[in-house]
Amino acid sequence: MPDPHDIDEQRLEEIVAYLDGELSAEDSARVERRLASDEAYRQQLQGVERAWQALDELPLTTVDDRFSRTTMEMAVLAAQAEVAAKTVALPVVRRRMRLSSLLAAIAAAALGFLVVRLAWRQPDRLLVADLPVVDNVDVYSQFQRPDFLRSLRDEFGDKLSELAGKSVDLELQAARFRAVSHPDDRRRWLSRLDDAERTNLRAKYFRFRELPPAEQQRLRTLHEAIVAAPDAPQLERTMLAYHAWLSRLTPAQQFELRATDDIPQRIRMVRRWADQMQEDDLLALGEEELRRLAARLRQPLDEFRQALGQRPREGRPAGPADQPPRRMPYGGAWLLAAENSRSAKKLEAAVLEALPQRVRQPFQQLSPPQKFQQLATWMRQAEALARGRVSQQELERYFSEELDVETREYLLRLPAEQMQQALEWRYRRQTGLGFDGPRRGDGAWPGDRPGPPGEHRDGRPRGPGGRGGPGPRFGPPEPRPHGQLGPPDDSDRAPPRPPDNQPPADADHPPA
Amino acid sequence: MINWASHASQLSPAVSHFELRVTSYGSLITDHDSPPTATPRVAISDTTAERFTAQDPDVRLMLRVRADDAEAFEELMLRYQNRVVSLLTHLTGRRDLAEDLAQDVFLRIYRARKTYVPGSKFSTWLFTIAHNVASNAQRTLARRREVDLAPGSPDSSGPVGIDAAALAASGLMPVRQLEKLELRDAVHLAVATLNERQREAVLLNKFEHLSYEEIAEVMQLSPSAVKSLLTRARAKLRDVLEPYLQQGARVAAP
Repeated sequence: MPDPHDIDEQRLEEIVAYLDGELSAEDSARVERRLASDEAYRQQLQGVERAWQALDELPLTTVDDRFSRTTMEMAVLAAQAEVAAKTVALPVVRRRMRLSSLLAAIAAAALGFLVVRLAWRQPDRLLVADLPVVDNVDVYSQFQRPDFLRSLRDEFGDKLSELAGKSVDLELQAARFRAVSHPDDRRRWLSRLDDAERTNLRAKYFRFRELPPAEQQRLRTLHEAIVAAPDAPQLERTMLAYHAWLSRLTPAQQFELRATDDIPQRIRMVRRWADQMQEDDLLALGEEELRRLAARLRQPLDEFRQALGQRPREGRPAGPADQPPRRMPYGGAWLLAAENSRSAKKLEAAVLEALPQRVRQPFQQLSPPQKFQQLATWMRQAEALARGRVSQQELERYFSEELDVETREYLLRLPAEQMQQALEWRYRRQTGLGFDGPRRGDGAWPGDRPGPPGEHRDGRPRGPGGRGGPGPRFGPPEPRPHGQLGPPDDSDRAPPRPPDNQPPADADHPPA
Repeated sequence: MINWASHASQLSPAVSHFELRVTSYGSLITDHDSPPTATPRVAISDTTAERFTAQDPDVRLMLRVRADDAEAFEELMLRYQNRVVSLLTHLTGRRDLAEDLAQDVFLRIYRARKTYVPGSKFSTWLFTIAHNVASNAQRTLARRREVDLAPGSPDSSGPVGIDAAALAASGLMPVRQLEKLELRDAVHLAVATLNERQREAVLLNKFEHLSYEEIAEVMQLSPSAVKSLLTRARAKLRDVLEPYLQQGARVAAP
């Protein structure tokens, strides 16, 4: 009589071989018949299979660039050793006799060596392999399916380029996308990058590598789905416009969008924010325009101050634009007076006259407090343009007199250099023009809305400007959930803003 | 021992498979303690070489490596580096050692390029080298008694220790102790209960999708021995994981 243990083992062996596809067709059919009729047999198979499937939990190991590089270096050394060995091993006579074959052998090995050396000096092969995903990692990580892009296209239609911003050349971006997407063009494209672009790309590459393997794979799949779609050109264009637009948002805003799973709801958010940004863009001034505005308003502003009972700073009757404006207390009272006073109307008329034609109408449509805010922002921008750096004395005064306790504490926690930068940036960005009063971004004004966007010096999106937005001002950085990348860093970025309005890297998102 | 390397120029696809293994990397793998082989000497006909060349893109890459195309070598390395390191990490239980050994594997492939003849899938050939490298390393390390080679989690920082593995293998682990584990830890623990050969066969079968015959070639065993190894391994995995999976199913059930 057969041992029951042997029968069990045979049965298990059969089940395992069946699951591994190692049985003949005839044996497989027999197993399947038995599965249909024998519950215990079926359960045994399921138990084995369940445990097997659980092995998927084992993590995949991922090596870093160092591994690839050092391995290639070892191969190069091996090639060198081969050449040396072939040369040394042969006796002199034989070396002469077989000179031609020896040279051929050495040439082959040397060629291999040279190619190897060139190969590992070339841009990282992994980077090349994933280039389209790496170059677009910031936007691919922002949505799940091509359908989102279709909905976005339906919403914006022909106005996609407006979404991207006037200074963004979508055709240029599309050409870049095509170049990085085509395997044959990638190396050539990479070889043409300058140092700054390489650095940007490298940063994106590291962000991509930091993603969990499953997320990396998701991005690859998403890219494949987009380029293979029948409406690929439209999808690509929509995505690039969305990318350009996204890069003008703060990480917090990007997160908010990403966290909104419902596509129609997300599209509504994009529409709302885009409209706000568009309005703010209308009020943006170039450097020359800012200088002209400041020069033309110098006199009217001094008159305005005098009319409100303030005198220009002693020894500086009609202060040149390269001096900090004198600050005035009682900003709220000033505002109340300003809204209805004749001097305020006179100032507004002067502002309107000094503004470029295209900005006049959008400015007129602002509420009185918003007009005040906008004028303050322009003056600060102009002031920063004229002065370069703010004096230490003025910064110290600003720090001690104008900042709240929470902000001061935050700034004091920063390293000295960062604190200086953050303070300076904040000084330029906050409401100024020599007046106290509620600051932009504090949401204190009725109808408060995100201000004109811009970007950080390091290419990060600055996010909403003077008039605040959904993004946080202080406090710990927002969570970086799965898939969230660092802020976009691209050179193919939103329209440049006046240099004064660029904050240090930490300004909006201080470390915890 | 014949130095096949000196006859490299005379190699032809008709060289026997076993000879190929010797010529390709026999001299590269330390000569001592060569693992026993049960692989029959099967001649590699031109047809076989052509078939593998046509079917396996990695074989075509390796043939480019043979022709001193370094980019092809790099491409192969990039394709396989994570997989090789992963396998070796599970086999040795040490990530740093696994990376060193993986570099050794790729270096051996590079050195053996001139004598390469496609007699099987490229992955089979590569994992055979990895198997030999790992076996040698384990023997050396065991002799030196430097490390405990029992694998825990690959980064050696996982919560599953050898004691837990032994307990799980004995079937005596209290259910409540098992319940506390994350699934990943439970799987680590289950894999740690396998012996080295079972573990290697499982990894090659599960993650590299090698057939019994290919695993047999890699591990220099007979296909029936592989079948037996895998059967026992699967039974052990089931025995360790089943209580956990059933518990998980109960938890997941509404």
